[in-house]
Order: sequence, then C-alpha cells, then structure tokens
Amino acid sequence: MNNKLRGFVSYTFRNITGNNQDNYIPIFYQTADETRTIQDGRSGIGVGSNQTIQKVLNAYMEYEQTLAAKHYLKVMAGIGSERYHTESNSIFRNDLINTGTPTLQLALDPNSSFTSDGGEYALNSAYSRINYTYDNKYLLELNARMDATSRFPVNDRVGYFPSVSAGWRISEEGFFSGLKSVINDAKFRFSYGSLGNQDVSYYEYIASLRSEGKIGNIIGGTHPPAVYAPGLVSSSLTWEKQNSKNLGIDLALLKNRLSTSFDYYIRDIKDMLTVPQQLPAVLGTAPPLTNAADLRTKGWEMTLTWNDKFNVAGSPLSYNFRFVLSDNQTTITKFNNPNGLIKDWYVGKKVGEIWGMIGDGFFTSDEDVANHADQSELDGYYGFQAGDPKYVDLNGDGKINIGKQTLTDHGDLTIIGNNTPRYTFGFNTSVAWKGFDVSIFLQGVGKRDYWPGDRTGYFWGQYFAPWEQVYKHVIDNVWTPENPDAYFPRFAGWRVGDFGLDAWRDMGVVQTRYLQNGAYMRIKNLTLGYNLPAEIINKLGLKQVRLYLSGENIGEINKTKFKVLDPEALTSSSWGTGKAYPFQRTYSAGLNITF
Amino acid sequence: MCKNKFLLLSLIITGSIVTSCKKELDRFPIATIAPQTFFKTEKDLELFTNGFYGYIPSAQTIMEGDGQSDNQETVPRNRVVEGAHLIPSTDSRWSTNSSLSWGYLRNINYFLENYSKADAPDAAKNHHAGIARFFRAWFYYDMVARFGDVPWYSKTMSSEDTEQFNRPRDPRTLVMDSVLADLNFAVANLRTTTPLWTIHKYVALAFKARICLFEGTWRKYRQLADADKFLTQAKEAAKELIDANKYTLYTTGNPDVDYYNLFQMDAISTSEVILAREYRTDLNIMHSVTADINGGYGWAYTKSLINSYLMKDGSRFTDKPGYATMTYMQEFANRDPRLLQTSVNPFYKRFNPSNITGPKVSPNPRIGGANPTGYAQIKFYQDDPNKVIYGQSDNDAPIIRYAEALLIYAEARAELGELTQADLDLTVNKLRARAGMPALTMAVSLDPVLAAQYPNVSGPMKNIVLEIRRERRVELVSENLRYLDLMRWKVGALLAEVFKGAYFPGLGEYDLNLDGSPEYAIVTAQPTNPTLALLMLLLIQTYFCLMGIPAI
Repeated sequence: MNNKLRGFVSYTFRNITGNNQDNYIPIFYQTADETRTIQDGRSGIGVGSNQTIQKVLNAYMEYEQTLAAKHYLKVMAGIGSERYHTESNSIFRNDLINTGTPTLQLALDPNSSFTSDGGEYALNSAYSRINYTYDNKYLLELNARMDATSRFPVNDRVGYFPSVSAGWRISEEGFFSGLKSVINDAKFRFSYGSLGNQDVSYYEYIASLRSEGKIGNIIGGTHPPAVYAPGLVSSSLTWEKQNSKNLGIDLALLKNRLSTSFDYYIRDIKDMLTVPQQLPAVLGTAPPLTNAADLRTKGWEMTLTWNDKFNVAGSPLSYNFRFVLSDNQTTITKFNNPNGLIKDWYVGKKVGEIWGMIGDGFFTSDEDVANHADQSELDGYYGFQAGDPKYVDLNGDGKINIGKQTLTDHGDLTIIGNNTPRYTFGFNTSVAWKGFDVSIFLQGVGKRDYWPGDRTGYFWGQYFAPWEQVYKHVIDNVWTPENPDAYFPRFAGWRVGDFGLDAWRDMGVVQTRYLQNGAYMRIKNLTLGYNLPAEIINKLGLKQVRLYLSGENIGEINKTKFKVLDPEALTSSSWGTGKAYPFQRTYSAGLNITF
Repeated sequence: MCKNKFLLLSLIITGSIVTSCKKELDRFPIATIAPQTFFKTEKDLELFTNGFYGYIPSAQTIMEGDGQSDNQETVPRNRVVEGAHLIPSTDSRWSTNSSLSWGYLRNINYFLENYSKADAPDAAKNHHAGIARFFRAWFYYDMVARFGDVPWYSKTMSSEDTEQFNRPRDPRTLVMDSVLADLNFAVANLRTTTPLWTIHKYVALAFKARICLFEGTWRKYRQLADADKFLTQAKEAAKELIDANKYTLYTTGNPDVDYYNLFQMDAISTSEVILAREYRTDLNIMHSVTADINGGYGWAYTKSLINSYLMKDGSRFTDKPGYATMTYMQEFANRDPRLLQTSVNPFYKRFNPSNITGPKVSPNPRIGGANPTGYAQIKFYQDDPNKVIYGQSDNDAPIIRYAEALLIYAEARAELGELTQADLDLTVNKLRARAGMPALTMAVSLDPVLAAQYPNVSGPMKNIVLEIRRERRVELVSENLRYLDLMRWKVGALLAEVFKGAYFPGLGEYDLNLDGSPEYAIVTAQPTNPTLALLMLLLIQTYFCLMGIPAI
C-alpha cells in the first residue's frame, strides 16, 4: 500500500502598465485650380496610460492511493480567487504650436478632451475532483465546482457545476481477447457535465448614468458634456449553464495503424445570457440583458487517423493521413416571443435560419407584371417592370408580401436556408521517402447557405449604390431585353441597401435567386521538402540541411456565384458581409540549416 | 475513514468560503456615474439638461427642409411629396433608441423623476425642469404633427410594464393639453436670461405661440373642438413676447441685402433670432448647406412660390396680364426684394468656385438637373469660396425668430376675426418695412390666385388671412415650416399639384443671365457637338399623408 498527500499553493500578482502617445499631423492639399490650400484635419497630441492589476490565488490538495494494484484513487480539492482591476486615462489636445514638438503643453486648443475608463471584477471558486480506476478497465471521474462572481447581483452570484465522466476499456476484458488481434484497443466514453458562463460586462446588473462626452450642439458658446439616463438592467441575472451529454468511442485497429474516434453530444444551454424579445419602441430603451433563452445543440464529431510505412525501392516510405468531420445544429428550446416574430428567436427555431421569398425569375413583360400577384408592397423606387425579380405567391392571396413577419402570418416568406456551417472538415496527409516529404492540409465546409446582405456592395455593385466600383461580374450579367437570362435584373442604382435595415424592398428582398451556396474547400497548406542525405552534410560539419517549397491558401473550391466573396471570410461589418481583409496566397521557398 | 473525514472537512471549508463571502464580492463602477451620486447640485441638473439640446434640428434639416413642401422640387424626388411614402420598418421618429424618438422622451422623463433631489434653490430646479418640459412639449408636438394620436408617457417604464407600453394611442386632444401644460410650466419657470442659444422664457413663449397656432388652425380647418382656445393661447403668447420688447427685426436699413445677410452671416442676429443652432469654425462644428446648394444633389423653388412674391410696389405679380408666360429673364424685375435674396436670378452674381480670384459670375441654374425648376436657392448660401467646401459652412440655423412670432400674432388674430390695422402695423408691416415693401392694409382686395390655393378659407377676413399666408410663405421660406403649414391649413392637395418650373416659350436659345450671349438651348435631339447646356422641364405628380407607425 502506498499513498500520497500533496498540497499546492500558487499566488500570481500581475501589474501591467502601458503608455501611449498619438501625434496627429494635418495634411495640406491644393484645389484643382491651385488657388487655395486646404488643410485636412487638425494637428494634435493624445497621451494615454493604462494599468491592469490581476491577483490570482489558487490552493489545492491532492491525495493519491493505489490499493491492491487494481484500485487507483485520486482526490483533489481546492479553492481559487481572482481579483481584477483595470483603468485607463487619456488626454487629447488639438492645435500643436509646432508639429515637430508634440507636447500637451505646446498645443493651443483651450478645449482638451479627456477620457477615462476602468472596471473591476472578483471571482471566488472552490473545486474538487475524484478519479477512480479499476484494473485499467473502468475509469470514473467526478468533478464539482462552485463559483461566485461579482458580475451578478448578490443573491445570484453563486453557480454550481458538477460533472461526471466514465470510461470502459472493453478491449481489456477477458471476453474480448479473441478480437484483440483486429481491434487493438476499444474504449467507450460517457460524460455528463455542467459548465458556467458569466460573459457579461463587469457591471451588467448596475444602472449607471451614461456620459458620451461633449454634445454635438454649441450652447453658451461652447459644446459642453452631458449625462444621460441609464439603460434598463435586469433585477436578476445569473450564470448561464451549459449541460453536455457526450457519448464516445475510441478504436485502434489493424495493428494500431488505423485509429478512430466518434462522439455524439447534446449540449443544452440553460438561461443563456442574451437580449430578450423586442419590446415596443415606446419603451425608449433596449430591454435589459437577461437569462432569456434555452438552446439545444446536437452534434457529432469523427476523427480517422492512418499511419503506416512500407518499403519502396529498398527505402521506407512512411505516410499518414488524418480526417476530421463534424456537424452540429442548434435549436431554440425556450424564448419568450408571444407574437412569434420570426426575426427574433422562437421555440423551435434553428439557429441560422434564413427567411425569404421563393424567386421566380424575372418579369418578362408588363403583361407578366399585370398577371402576376401584386408585388407593390415590395416596391423600391422604380415599380416593377420587365426584367425585375418576380416571387412565388406562396399563400396564394394574390399579393406578395411579408405579412406581419410572425409565425402565424408570414405572407410569402418561408425558410429558404440556414447559414450555420455544416459538415466542417479538415484533412491532412504527409508522405516521406528518402529525405523527400510532401504534406497537404485541406479544410472546408460541406453545406452552408449564405445571403449576401443588403449592404454588400462587393456583390451587388451599382445595384447597391451608383458610386460602387464597376465590377465585371455585374456588368456582364445585367438583364436587358436582349439578355433576358442574366443573373442580375434591370440595371438601376439604390435597388438594395438603401431602404434601411430589414426593409424588404426591391432587391433587398431575401430570396432564393441570390441565396449563395457557402460550401467550400480550401488548400490551406502544401509543403514539399527535401532533407539532404546525412553522409553528405556530415562531411560539411552540419547536422541538417532542408530545402522546402511551401504555399498557403493556394487554391479553393468556392461555390458562391462569380466567386467574388470568400466563403471563409463572411464576417459582417456595417458595409455588409465579405468586406474582410482577404486571405493571401503565400508562396515561400526556404533553406533550413542546422549546425 | 481518515480520508473521508478530510474530504468532507475540506468541502465544508471551501464551500463556506465561497458562499459566505458573497457580499465581499461587491464591485461598483469606477468610471461611470451611479444614479445615487448624481442629481446633487444645480451643476448636475445642467449637465443632464445639456443632453436635451441634441433634439434641436440641424442646419440641413432647417435650411433644406422645404424639400418636403410645395416650395421646392428636389432631386431625387421627396417620397412624401410624391405620395410614395410607405410605412417604413424603421423610422427614426418611431424607434427605441433614436435621439429623436422614444429614447429621447425617456431621457427627459428620467430627469423629471429625479431633478427634485438636487440640493438647489427651487427657482433653479424649476428652471431646469422647465427646460425638460419645454423639450418634452416640442417632442410631442413633433409626434402629433407626424402621427396624429400618440400615447402620452410622462414616466419612464421598465421592461415589466407591459400594460403601459402596449397601451393604444391617446387622443390628440389629451396629448396637446399635456403639451400646453408643459409649455405653460416652462414659460412660468424658465429664467429670462440664460447663456447664448439655450432655452429661456422667451424661447418657450415663441414655441408656445407656434405650437398653439398649429393646433388651433389644425382644429379649425377640421371642425374639431377647442380651436379657438389654442388660437387664443397662440395670440396671447405671441403678444406677451412682443410686449416684452426683447426682440427686434434685424436691419441695417438696406432692404436689398439685409434679408440675405441675416441668413448667411457667421453669427446670426441675436436681436431677431430667439433660438438658433450655432455653428462655428473654431469649434470645428460646421455644416454643408452651402456645399449642398452648390453641389450635385439639388433642388429649386417652384413656380408657385416665385409667383407668390409681390411686385416691389405692393401690387400682385399674378395680377399682371401675361404673368403666366413671363420668362425667367423677365419675371424678376421690380419684385419684392426678398425674392432676389432668396432665389438665383439673372441679376445675381457670386464667386466662381473654380476661379475665385476672377470676377463674380452668374451661377446659371442647372435647369432640369440639380435645379429642376430653374429657381436655385440662395437663401443661406455663404458666398465665400472656403465655405463652398463640404462641411465648411458656419452660418447658424434659425430655429425660431421674431419674424415668425409677429406672423403668428397676425394669423391668430385674423383667424379669430379680431385683426386690426394696428395689429398689421405691429406685425406684417414691420416685415414689409425691413424688406423695403409698402404696408399691407385691411382693405387689400381678395387675391383670386391665393383664394384658389386655399379654398377652405372663409369669413369676413378671408382677404387678409390669405395675405398673411402669402407673407408667411415669402418671409419664412426654406426654414422648414411650409409642410406643417399646409397640413394645419388642410391644403395638402397643393402637394398633389404639378410643380412647375420657369416658363420657356419653346425651342430655342436663351440668355439666362442677360449678358448678351445664350447659355441654354431647348432642343428636340441632342446635337452632336453641343455648345450649350441642354434644358428640360420636369413635371411631377404629388400628394400627402399622415405618417403610419412602424410595427415595432
């Protein structure tokens, strides 16, 4: 019998300070007729400093015991505490006397501006863990933790998060011995556990008056600061919990050359910290963040790995590959949305759902417009004529509209897709032979729908705004009476993105015709390498010499129309999706020498 | 056993540490203001009321606002004038957080729920409450003018007040009585002297006159109850303002430039203007109206506005034989001097932005283009090459001025049937004198053109009511007042008329600035080598409506 009791204490004190200085220099330019010089911008100096102090204490004890060779037990319990404080201050002053000596004192603007920010949080935790293993066949782990955070009101601060996981190595059982030559290792895993999330601002439950600095008006000869009413806060706010159930299996086959694992999981998010249902505008402020929603995610993940080598021309050729595939989908299981507004979450909604119209090509003539269901509620600036988008009258009421955008009255809208990335996969492989090696890494998404968004000028070109760049993919695909099968409709500006958010006007109508297939696969990396033979380089007194060629992002399968948008970079900004810094194709060649 | 005890003990200890110290975890904001620590001094009240001033319309809103009226034709066309206004899914006047909408009201109501906590003299507290209630009255006046019935809220709500925020609209009578109560409180409690362009008693009086005239005439022309009550309030507020002798019309005794200068000076006249939104180069708060007037997006005055200016001798342009076929080159001669200070005309010259050291030139209107009718705006135009640049205009926007108060008094008295020659001399004739125009008399004949425009005016003072409306249209053009004038007079049909531009008798070449050589040609087909700008006239259909409330 041998056992051990150990204790650990750690204390971390971190003090990070920073200073920064920004200098502003005006640009002068001349008007086209060279009669005037115009100054763009004002000179100025900004000086700032910031400090962050973080104190973390952790203390835990661990007890370990092995009994009669087959029983293994480990118990651990501890406490932790974190204290965090951050603050920053900055001053800005315009009109430097001399841009060469940017100093606060040597600037003239009587109205310096000051900004200060800061915050604090505190977290106390207690945690314990018990591991038990019997005969290396049965594995059990129990976890419990308790956290108390300053971010929630005093009675809602504490969260309890237990978890349990169990494993069974069936391949170690006596009855499995006959199979063991084929299945070298097999293990079932099960876990059930709870995790906490406190991801809200430091003072989410405290109402503070807002100050946005100087007002935009000049009153009393100056533009003074102002203070505004606080927004609403929720009287109860507590931990969001993520309860996961996971069932998994790990297998190693064929002399451990093939290993695979598969997991199926159900993740329930309870009391998600999120914005609740929209309330009437007359409330005058956004409803406060609360524990407003429950979500359920079901998913699976699979990994396949193969490792092997054999001889080619007397030299060993080793190769391996690894393939990872996963999928999940999330459904809303609780959300207060009595009117069933489809823009908001509602019970049963799949996250990522895209509501839209079923496109029916373009109108072919004025008679076509007259004979079709009335689309005037979707009119933008130009009415509907030949060459304009036409939609299917799903509810057959003779009008194309969006109803009240509720589950019971959604006019001709229907769910036309989902922008959740499905079947995400990664594949890498490498082969080595006689000093040569090749490796490749592919990555992608198997299924995804994507709506370009009504401010995505990259995609819509002049349909979005007359001042957009003239794109070839637009100009070549404009409807005209001579080109009735074009992708884009009759040419005109301001047809999309000019009607405000969620306006359902003209080409801003979400519809199947312009819904994009966001599936893709990209070659993230390809490397060719060669290691010079040891006998040659040893003579030169070197350890290793390697030559290589490598390329990043060198190619992709892009299923979006005209391939003007990068499906891997569909981040949104105020100027629509896709206006992201592009992935660069990078090629490099190199020589590594190790002495 | 020993290990079990140890485990249990450690769990109890750690558990109690975590849970017993919940209070110890309290953390309060270190860089924002807690409500408990605010509303202590008068300075706090002032800091909060500073936030209300964002409601004051910008220079663009005021100076370009007549685009939504029969005074101006715009490019692109105004959706409301065109009759193509659809209820939008979001409307800055009906949204949660907009600085012009319910979020703005909530801020005021929050102040009114808290200001009395301050340790300050009652007079100081009431002054700041007066500012809050003045802005609340203005807010609700705008809401009623736009939507009609709206729910009245005088308290902030929480997200649990379902019944309150799902309430239906209140009738306009209730809302306007509350508006009047707010205005009366403001007039009674605001200080008489305050820093430049802040809210004081006379601003509240002027707005009370404006709002009550709106409500009184709106009700009178729709046969609703209590029209006279509001007209009387309008009259009395305007009279109190006049009698206070705080304001006079701006004049240097030069009628040919005074009107123009009033609107283009860097710092607007404090003797005439009661409330302005100030713009200043040194504080880097400027606007772009001069650039807009000079630039590509555009608008121009309608023929109907131009026709309403009298001749310099006080006679009517529309009484002249052949007035309807008088050309752009002829019609500006011997007119009310304010016309030549409002619209581009053959005699007007200004800096050439592309050659500022050269002589001033006649800015030929871009007829059919940026100035569809030909009558380009010059009111508010700063003739300074540095201010033609986008974002460089610094003339202040008049929000309400004494001239309007005079016109309110005259109109209210006339609508009540009480107007006298003395009233005219006190009001309209002061404006006439500043403009270098002869006085208006009670005996003025009925103008058939105005009578056709405003067919619902009746009564013994019909002739004079119409002339006051003419004076108001001329004096206050491009100050964002015309649209609501049409609404309250119930003559929205004027928006549905075909807006006309300058008259041209037919094909041919035209010398618009009378310099002896033609600048424009009207042609049937584009010449291969055009040397003159091409001209076309636009005809546009229009009508009007109250705005619908978005669904959310």
